Parts: sequence; structure tokens; C-alpha cells
Amino acid sequence: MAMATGTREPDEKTRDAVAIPRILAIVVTHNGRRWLKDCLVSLEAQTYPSMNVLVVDDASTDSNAQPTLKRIVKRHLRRRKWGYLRTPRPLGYGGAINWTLSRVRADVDFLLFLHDDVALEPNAIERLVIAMLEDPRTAIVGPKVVSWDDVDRLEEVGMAADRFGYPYKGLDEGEIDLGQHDNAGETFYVTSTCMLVRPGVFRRLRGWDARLRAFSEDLDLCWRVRLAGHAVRVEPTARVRHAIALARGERSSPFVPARYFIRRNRLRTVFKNVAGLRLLVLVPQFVMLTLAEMIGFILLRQPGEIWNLARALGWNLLRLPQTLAERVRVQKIRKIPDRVLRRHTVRQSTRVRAYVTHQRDRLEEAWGRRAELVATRSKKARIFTGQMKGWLGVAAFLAALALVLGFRDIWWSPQISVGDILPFPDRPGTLWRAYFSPWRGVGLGEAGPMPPALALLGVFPLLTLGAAGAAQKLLILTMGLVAFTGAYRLVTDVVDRSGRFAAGTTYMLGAVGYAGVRQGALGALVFGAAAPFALRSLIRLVGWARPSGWSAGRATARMVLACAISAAFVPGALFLYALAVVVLAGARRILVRGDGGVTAVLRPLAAIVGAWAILLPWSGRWLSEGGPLALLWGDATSAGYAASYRGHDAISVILGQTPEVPPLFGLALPVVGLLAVVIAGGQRRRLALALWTLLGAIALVVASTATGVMRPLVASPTEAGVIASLAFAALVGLAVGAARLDLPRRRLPALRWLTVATFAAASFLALYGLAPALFRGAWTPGAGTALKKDEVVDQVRSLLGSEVSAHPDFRALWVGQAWGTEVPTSATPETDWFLTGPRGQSATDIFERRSGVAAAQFQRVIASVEQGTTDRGGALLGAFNVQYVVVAPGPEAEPWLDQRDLRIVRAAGDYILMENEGRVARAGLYQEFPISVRAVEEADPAVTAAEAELELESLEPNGPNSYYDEDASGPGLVFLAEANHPGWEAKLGGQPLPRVHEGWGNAFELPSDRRGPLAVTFDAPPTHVAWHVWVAVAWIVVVGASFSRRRGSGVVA
Amino acid sequence: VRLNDSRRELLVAGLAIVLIGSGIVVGAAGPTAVDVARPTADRLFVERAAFCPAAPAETNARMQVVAGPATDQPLLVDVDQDDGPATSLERNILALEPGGHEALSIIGFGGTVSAAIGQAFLVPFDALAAGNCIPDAGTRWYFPYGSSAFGFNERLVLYNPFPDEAVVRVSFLMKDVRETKSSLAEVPVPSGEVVSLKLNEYLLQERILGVEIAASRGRVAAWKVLFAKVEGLERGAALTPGTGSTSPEWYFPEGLVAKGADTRISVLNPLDEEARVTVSVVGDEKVIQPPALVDVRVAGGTSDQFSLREVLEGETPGPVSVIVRSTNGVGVVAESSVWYDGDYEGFTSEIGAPLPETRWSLGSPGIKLDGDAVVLLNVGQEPAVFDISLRTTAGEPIRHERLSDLHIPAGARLRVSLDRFLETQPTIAFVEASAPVVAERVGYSRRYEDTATIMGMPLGR
Repeated sequence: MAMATGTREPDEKTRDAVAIPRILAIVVTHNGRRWLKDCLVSLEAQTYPSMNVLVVDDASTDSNAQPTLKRIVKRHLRRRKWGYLRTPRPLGYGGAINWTLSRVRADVDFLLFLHDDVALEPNAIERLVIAMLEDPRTAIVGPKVVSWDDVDRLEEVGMAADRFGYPYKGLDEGEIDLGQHDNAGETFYVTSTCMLVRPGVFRRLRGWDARLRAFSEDLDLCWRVRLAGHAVRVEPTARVRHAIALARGERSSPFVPARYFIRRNRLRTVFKNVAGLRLLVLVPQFVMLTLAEMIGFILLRQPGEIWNLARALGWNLLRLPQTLAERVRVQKIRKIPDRVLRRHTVRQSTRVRAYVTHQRDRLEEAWGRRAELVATRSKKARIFTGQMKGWLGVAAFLAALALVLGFRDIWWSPQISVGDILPFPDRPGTLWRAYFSPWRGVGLGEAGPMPPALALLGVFPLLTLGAAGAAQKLLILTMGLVAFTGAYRLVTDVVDRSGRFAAGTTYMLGAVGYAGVRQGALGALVFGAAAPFALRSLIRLVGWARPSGWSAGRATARMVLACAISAAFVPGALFLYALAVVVLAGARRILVRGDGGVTAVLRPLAAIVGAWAILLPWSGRWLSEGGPLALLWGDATSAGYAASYRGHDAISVILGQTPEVPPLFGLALPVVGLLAVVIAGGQRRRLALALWTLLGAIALVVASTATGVMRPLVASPTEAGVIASLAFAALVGLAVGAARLDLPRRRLPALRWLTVATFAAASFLALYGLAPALFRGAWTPGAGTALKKDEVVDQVRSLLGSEVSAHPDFRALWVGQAWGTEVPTSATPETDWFLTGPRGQSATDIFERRSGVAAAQFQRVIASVEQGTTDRGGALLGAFNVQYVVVAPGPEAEPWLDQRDLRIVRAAGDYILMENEGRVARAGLYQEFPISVRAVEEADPAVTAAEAELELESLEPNGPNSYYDEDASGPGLVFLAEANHPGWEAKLGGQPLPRVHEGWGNAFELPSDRRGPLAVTFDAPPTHVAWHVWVAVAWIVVVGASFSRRRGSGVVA
Repeated sequence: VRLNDSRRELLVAGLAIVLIGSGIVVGAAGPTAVDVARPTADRLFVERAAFCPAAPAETNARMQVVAGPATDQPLLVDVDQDDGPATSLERNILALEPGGHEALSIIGFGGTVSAAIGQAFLVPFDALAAGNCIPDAGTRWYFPYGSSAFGFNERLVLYNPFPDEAVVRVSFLMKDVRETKSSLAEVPVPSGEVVSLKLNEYLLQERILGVEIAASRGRVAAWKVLFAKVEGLERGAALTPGTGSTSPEWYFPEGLVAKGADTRISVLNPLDEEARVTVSVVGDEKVIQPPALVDVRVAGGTSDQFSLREVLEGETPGPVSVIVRSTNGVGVVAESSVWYDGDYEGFTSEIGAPLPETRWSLGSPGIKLDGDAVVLLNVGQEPAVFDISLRTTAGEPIRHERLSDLHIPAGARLRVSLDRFLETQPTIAFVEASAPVVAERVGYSRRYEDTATIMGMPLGR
């Protein structure tokens, strides 16, 4: 730190000025040598006499350059008392002033804070002082700010802000100053460019918020000044020029990027200053606005800005305790309510207009770039179309025809309801609402976090504008096309177009799609679609292929994304990816001398961890009770999954039979795969060997799982075989590529004949295997299983749906293997029963957790019925709000038909629908504890023998997770048939009711002397929004980084 | 170790082969995945009802229902139609005398209830009948024996204990044909009500009249009450609970082939495939295989009837047991109808037991009995030792030395008289044997000059 003062005695003019207020002007400079001289000269030339100047160098990096800053100050402030200080490190504008005032005795009447890129007109300070003295309420006065280069162009005349603290000038871009804004008066805030401040108020408010460093500190200070009951004014007759050097990037600053500091400081400012109740509304809105802006930046192709916004949110989240403490101090000095300040804020519509205007150029630039890009791609598409003429075109046509033929039962059928390919809800936003909801109404109810698969699936109904059937077809079509594209691109770096096409077609028509569709294994389909992209990134990260323009960061981000999408449906996929990392990196290490260091393994492994992280908080519960991995590895449940591996072993994997596929087609894969090793050369041969090693590892895993040597990593052989199937597709691509690229160079006629013969044999096997399957339309959900056809399920769903008007909120129990999954999946565990809402099973039901007391008690009821120990299952099921039971005719239905309190509504050839008339309401008011619930709790149905249920009334649903009754009175008991959770609260007239029960359901006592409106709601935990913000930010960042066009190390890396 | 490229490739190929080989070895040598037992809940809800029939319309009968726990566990018993409190049963039983025309649901809480009903008819004539209460209502019921010939008055009693109306179709399976009368094609049975059908009104002079009841909607419990007053044979009544399933084997411990007495075996084949049936007779002394009853063909959708007295051609082995076997595996339903003449008089008819069991519950076979016995048939390959205990309405079960450690050789039948305990009735007899046997209980009332039998209820559940 350095300090120096001028030694010249005050002149006569100064002595005359003793009676007038004394001012200390503090000029903060940081790398502002270019403008500082003009600033100092303008201060020196001020008509106002009683002013000293203190220049604070905020650790400029050029302060020692010749001439030194101190020398510049001395040279240009010859007529003023001056001082020079230098901060030890950059503290920012406010921080530097705070630091200075803590070291200097400022016994003055007013403080003048100035940027170094400001030049004042000679009478500016005089005008400011007069304005200050006119009104004792005024604590801050700012000047009119004009352009540095053109004094006729306005920059600001006082500032307003919207409710989120976004500044609003109220000026057009480049507006000429004709005096149209020269109305002196109060404003919401003035910028820190130049402001005259009362030191007393400034000190009482504890100065600037030094943590803000740069940007928005002026808004914060003025806001606090206003809250303390003072006024902030603008004096248009005082005019200053401003270069706006920092915001325009004309000077180097440690506080970049600006958008990061702007966003983070605004959020902090709002959080500190807005009144409590309003804050509750504003902060979520602020966050949502930021997320919307992030999406906007995706359109603008500016992923860096997304990262800035994410950082801003994260910074505030981390410093929340400190901000809260600061907020307490600010609110203590509050003298006026927010509604008074609202006069000086702008409406949101004004703000949006201003924002759009501001962003117009950027949008035009971005879309212009986009148009160029589209034009480029169109050109590429024309070239591609030209190249598709010939045998490749014929092959593509045949593949498309095969797709239509084989999948014909999907395209022209009602919504599929097999395994975890379930009907989409009727409304387009239901899946997203379910994802964002803190409480999940599936099964017996469960609290969040919700599986991200809901949000991912939720894209499809939105794309089809709510046409649920079309959404499902689009989903399957998308999976097929994405799988083709992924496999095509997987081998892009090592083979030509023919090889890529062969890989894509083999994969699309291969085992994952075949078994996945037939078994209704949506998880396997999604995993299968994402896996090629993950493996492609992995291959690049490990070093097998690194084309020009390759970016490790982008590859890592893409791997994170592909792994996360896979794991959102098949959590165990991460283990298979990790296995692939180890095998491919290990093989690379052996095959290529000196290649494949630790980074080659760590980076993809980090990507896998990153995938887990961006699935938080849901992924954090994989191992908790009822979680997908807990089910896979649990003592009671793992054997059930292992049993689904029966018939699959190492040989079936190596022979291409795992997952299930037309056998001859599967056999063609290893044949061609071996050919790839034989005829390929160099990198292709090495990669083929590595892929065979990967196949061996998968074979070992499948065999170990099938025999119970190890617990399943994934739920079924279909999921386990995804990587194997992909490896085979890649081998086929390598074989085709090698035949075209390597074989001509190898002068072995026998090898050519071998190649021709092998391809002929493999083609024969593939066609002979595929043709009958295509003819049969074998890609039919539920084909080859005993599961009921979609038409039957659809019919039952319609029947249940028709009851909604009479009974709006009931559960339906579907019993029997015919409805569920023949092969368990990660999203829908092996089960012979499931609970649905009135619309039957839907995509919202995946990853339902059966855990806790409720699930155990319900399972007990099911077991009692199925084992024939009770014939009054209806009463017991009624305790769980089950109104309908759907069973498939046959031996499994017998015990259900024995139930003498279940009424048969419809007995068709394929299903029996039974109605239970004795259910408790989803939310109801009772005289005392519902008897059937008591029977369930005590495992004693005898309690129902003597008494009948006494329900006073049902509560009406009042939005998601909320029930309401206009006028309820005690004594009584409110019972909510949802799994017990402390988040559920009942309030009578706004007063919470005591919870009286900890078993199944939520019960609240209604005292006898109370009456009023009754509301039962689920309150989201405080972390709910924070987690959603995290997920949104994380995904936006990863997506942004994945598709960033910038070269370099990327954001995530 | 420095390796050239070829050797490196060989090393990776070897690694792949080792991994694949390891997988094959693990698959071959590793433990085989076994069928996974579905996890069961630790404490199940136990509440089941047994449905007891009302007397058929246009009859007048005194009824007695006995109900007790089927296991040693205490049981809470409630009568659905009764407003009174539930009754706790430890080792005793509950006896009720309900009104004649109301069916009952006897509900057991905490354990399985075993219930039987005795009916003493005054109208259309004095007669005694008994039968088990049905534990499972269903959608299909079979009655192999029946007749609308002169002297027979056959009634079907249908009870619907469920909350929804049932609609049933009653078909007749006769010697050569299955026939459904249009008036019996859709018989409604309202919820909670009893419907009684007089079959003689629908079909006249059919000597062989098997009945099949199929519910097109809902579920019912079905019994048959057959009043027989045939010239040349004793008169009497029989209450027969229906069965909803077919079986390749049926066992009948009780039967009599003697002068003036006869046992008729009826076989009903409800399936489409022809059944081949062999009927064997087990006398007190020997097993008789009537040649005429070997591989008898019973066409699908028909029923047939065989009089043992006729097929034995004058041979009168006296008390007999009967075994009906389908030799081609096609499931059939068999019923044995016995006309008594001698110590016991009257008529009775029971559908057999499809499986031998080690534990049986046998309800009281009627009201005001003068004769009471348990008849056992050991159909296994080893001798069985068994105990009989009698549960009464009060106190501990009666265990008597004459009812303990009783031996029955393999393939033999044994009749154990319970006459000395007649004063304590009503009772439920429990048979516990060391090997699977079949048990039936037979009672006789001089007052009604009729015999009633109750086929044992297996306690495997």
C-alpha cells in the first residue's frame, strides 16, 4: 500500500469555501490509465471549491508503468488536496472504497464516488451539491451521464429496475440529449459512475457490499438507502461523460465474465433487500427466469453464458448463510415497505421489451449463423443424397422397409402397455409435472426425488402436442433412429460409409431393438440408443480414435450426457460403461505402446461419475430401500432378477443370442466379427480385438449373473446385452470397412475368397433369420410372452377411465403376470401386481418404489388373498383406497374370485374387472380411525366384524397433492390414503392439526371445538427447488458443453 | 517385457479368449439359478367364510350347523346373517340351529373354519341329510348323480354370498347328451340370496341326470338336495355340496352292497374329451374289480351311472369303499349314492374325495342321530395309524382310547363307531393319520329312518 498527500497550502479560494460543505472525491481506478487523466483534469477544473481528491488504485496491473499512477495524479491535481492509495489486491469498486475509508479519516460533509473513466463538466459537482442540499431526505445524488465520445448521446438519467433488479434506463439506444429527460427528481438508483453520498448514511448502511466486487453494487447501495427512508435523486443539470470501459470490455479486469458477476450480484441484491413475503415469490421466479435464459443461450449457441449463469446461481447458493445474515441487517434498518418503492420500478412487460431490444442483435447474429449452418447442412444433405444412389440407397430402402414391416404392430396398434413401455398420459405436461412434483401419487405414494426418466420421456408428448399414442410411436421410432445414428457414428472415425451403414443397420435391427420391444424393455431401448454415443466418446477419450478438431472436454461432456440418459432408465448401465472403460483402456494400453495413460481411464470414469452426479438427487437413492440398485442387490430380490438370466450365458453372448434375437441373425454376428479380426489391419484390427475383449468381459458378467456368482448389475439379459450387441455392430462395421479398405492392400487371394464366403454365409444367416421375423411382424410388444395384448389393456383402461367421473380419485390393482413384465426391467421390477390410478398404468409409474410400512402391509394383503387365507380382501384393499381389481382369467384369478366383497363388474375372455365398494377415500373425514385401516395395521381383520366404516365426507382434490373441504368441524379424524410422510399437513382454518398415526396413511385429529376450512397439502421440503435448480443447471451445462462449437478443452473438462 | 505389435495383438486376443473361457467355465460349473420362491408376508390376514345352504323351497326342515376351528389355533367365528357378537372358539365348536330358508356365511377370523350342516326334513317327507358347508364359492359346479325319474325329487340350491348378482346356466349331462333348457340358460341369483331349482320341472323321466352349473356372471355356491322314494329301495334325502373341479381319481370310503341295499356310482365327464373310467370296490375282506367297470367309456359332456349291486351280479360284499379312476387321465367327477337297508336305512349321496390326506374334519352327519361312525379308506401303499378326536360345543375335545392308535392296513377300509358318544352331539370329528387316508362320516336317525353322510373336509390348508 502506498499513500501520499499533496503538501501545497490551501489557497484563498479554498479558504473562502470553508462555509460550504466539504467533499472528498474518491476516484477508483483499475487499469484505467487511458481515462484517468481526463477524469482528474475534470475534477481539477470543477467550480466547486471545497473538494479534496483521493485516488484509489484497485491493484492495477499497470500501476508501475511510466509514468506511475501516483505521478499522473500529482501532475493533474495541482490545485487540489489529493491523496493516492493502492489496494493490495483487486477488491472491486465498492470494496476499494470501503477499504479506503477504513484507512482514511474522512471528516467531510459529502463523499463523491467516481469511476476513473468519468469526466465531469466543470459545474457538475456544484449542481450535485445544490441538489443534495435542497432536500435533507436525499442521501445520494447522481448526474446525467452522457457518452464519452459524443456528449449529445445519453447514457443514463437515473436508473430504474424491475422486480428482479434488472436495470432499466428508459432510454433508446443512442438517444440524443435534447433535454427531454431533464426533470430532476427521485429515481430508483443512480449508477456508481458518479454519485454524491452523505457520509453519515453511508456509514450507517455499512458502506458498499464489498462481496459484490463489480456490477450492481450501486443498485444495492441505493436500494438500502431507500429502505432506510432516504431519497436517491438524479440531477440532470450535472453532466458527466462515461466511457463504460469495464462493461464494454475495454479494460482488463479480474471480474470477468461480466454476465456472471451481474447475475450473481443481482440475485444477492434482491435476496438482501426485498421484503420477506415478496422474496418467497421472487426468488423462484428469478431462478426460473435464469433457467429460461439458459435455454435462450442454447438457441444463441452461447454455452459459455450458460455456464456463467450456473456459476452465479451456485455462488449464491454457497453463500446463502452469509447473505441471510446480511439480509437481517438490511431489514433491520427498513423504514419503508416495498410498495412505496414500486413506484420507481418498471413493469415486467417494459422490461421484457427492453430485454428483447437489447438482445435483438445477438439473436439476429445467432439465427443468421444458424441459417448459414442450415445452408451448409443442406448442401451436405444434397451431397449425401447423391451418394446414396447405388447399392447403398437400395440397402437403405430395404432397411427402412424392414423397419416398417417388422414394427407394423407398433405403428397401427393402441398404446403399448408392456413392461415399462407404458402409455403416455393424456395431457402433454403430465410427465413433467410429475417430475417436478414433490410427491408422487403412483403406487401407494412416495416423496421425491423423482426419476429424471420422467422428464426425458416428457419431451415426447410435448413434441406430439399431447397425442399420447403418437408420442409413444415417436419414442420407439426415435430410439430406433438414434440407435442407427449412434452405431453409424460409432465407427465413423475408422471405416468408410459402407462400414458405418452396416454397423448402424445391424444395430438397429439387432438384438436390443428386437428383445427390447418384445419384452417392453424401454430402459434397454434407451440404453441401447444412448450407448453408441457413450462408447464413441469413450473410444475417443481412451485414444482409439481422435479426429482433427476433437475436444476432450466435449467428448467428456457427451459421455456424461449419454451415460446419464442411459442411467436415467438403467442405473446399472454405469457399471457396464465402467467395465467398457477398463477393458478398452486396458486393451489400448497393451496394444499401443506407450499409450493410454491414467488420464485415458480417469477422464471417462469421471464422466461416469458426472453422469451419476447430474442424476442427483434421484441417483443418491439408488441404494436405499426400494431403489433400483437395492432391488438388484437385495437378498430377497436379487435372485428374482438373476432368474431372468436363465438361458443366457457366456456362449449365448458370444453367439450373439444375448439379448434375444432371431437365432440365425445372431449367429451371423460372431462370424462377421471374427472376420473383422482376420482381414482388418492396423488400428481397425486392434479395435476389433479390443471389442472382442469387451465381448468376453460382458460374457463373463452375464454368466456370473445367471449362475448367481455375482449380483446382477442390470435387471435383465436384454439390458446386460446392450454393450455386447453394440460391440457386434461395431465389429460388423469394422469387417465391412476392412473389406473395402484393408483387404485390397493384402495380397492374399485366399483371404479375399474367405471374406466373400464369410460375408455370403453371414448374409444368408442374417436374412434367413430376419426374413421370417419381419414377415411375422416379430417386433411386437409382448410377442412371445403370456402378457395380455395392448387391445385388452386398452379396453380395461377405458373401463376404469369411465369411472373417473363417479369416483375421481381411486386406485386400481392389477393382479397377475399377464399385465406386468415377463422379464423384469430396471424401471419395473418383477412383480405380479401393481397399483395404478384411474387411467391404468402409465409412463408416470416407472421406477415406483415399494418400500416402507405401506408397501409391507399392502404386500401382506395381496399375499393373504393369493394364499387363500382371506376371502375378504376387498375390505383390506379398501384401506388402501383400492376400488378396482383387474385379474386375468385362469388359476391366478381363483383366489381373487373367492373374495366375497369384490363385485364382478365385467368378466371378459381376457380379463375380469372387480369392484370394491368398501374403500376409504383418498382423503376423507371420519368419525374415528377407519376400521379397515385399523384392521390392516393390526393384521387382524376381526376388527371389521363388529363395526361399519363411518365416513363423514370425502375431501375434494384441490390441485396436485392437495385436498380441501370448505367447512369441516370436529370431532373427527382426517385420513389421507397416501404413504405416511411428515410432509403431509392438515390445517383447519390455517392452524395445523396434530398427526395421530405413524403406520399406513396419514391421519390427523380434528378437535371437537374446531370448525373451518380444511386443507390437506404436501409441503415440498426446502431442498426441493434447490435440487431442481441443480439438475437443470447441471443438464444445461452438460448439454451446452456437449454441443458447444468452440474448440478447446470444453466447459466440463 | 518388450513385445512387438503382433505379440501385443496376440496378448489381447488371448485375454479375450480367457474372458470368454472364464464365462463358459462359470456358466458350466457355477451354481444353477433356482426358481425363486415369491417372498411371503410374515403375518397374513386370516378371515374366510364357509357357506351353508338353506333348505330348498317348498320343504320344511330343521337345520343344525356346526362350525369349529380346522386347526389347533383359537378362532373367532361370526355368522354374517346374525347381528350377535362373534364367538371365540378355542378347542370347542359352535352349534347353531338357524331358520330353514336362509343360507349362512360362517366367518372364521384368525383361522380356517370347518363347518357342516345337518338337515332334518319333515316335508316332503321325513328324511335326514347332511353336507359340508362350502368354503369357496365359484363359477362352475358339477353334480354327477341325479334323476328326474319317478320317485325322485331333485333340487338345486344356489347361494350367492357376493355383492354382485350372479347368472348361471344349468346344463344336464345325460347318458348320451348334454342339454341346456332355455329356461335354465340364464338363471339369476341375486346378491345375498338363495335360489332353489326343482329340476323335475324341467326334465322328466331322466334316470341319469348329471348337472353342470356354469356362472356366466358372478359366483355362487351350489348344493343338491335329492329326495328319493323309489319303489324297491329305502326312501331318504341327501344333501350334496357340489364340486367345481374334475379329478382323475375319486375315493368313497362309505358304501353298501347288500340285499336290499345298493351303491350307485355316477361319473360325469364335463370335458370334451372322452374319459375311460375304472371303478374298483374295496370290501372289508378283499378288493373286487368288477369286469364291467374296467375302462368304461364316458363320452365328453355326458354322465353315466353304475349300480354296484348289478355289476357284482349277486355278490354282496356288504360294506364297501369305492375308488373311481380315470385311466386315460381325463378329469371326471364322481358321486356315490347309497341305499341302505339293514342296521341303517335310507338314502345318501356324496361326491368323493379327490385326494387322500392325513388330516380330516368331519362335521356332524345329521340331527338326533342314533348311529354315528367314521369310515376310513387307506388308499396308500403303507398302513396308517390314526386318532379320532371329537370336538364339542363345550370344553376340551373328547379323546378316547378306542379312538386312538387305530390301525388301518394299506388298501383297506375301516369303520369306527362313534355310537358311544351320541349323547354329546353335535360334534366335529377330527382324524389325524400317519399316512394319507380318506375319511367319511355316516349317521343314522331312527326318528327319520334315514342315513346321512358327510365326506371329510381335508385340512391341508
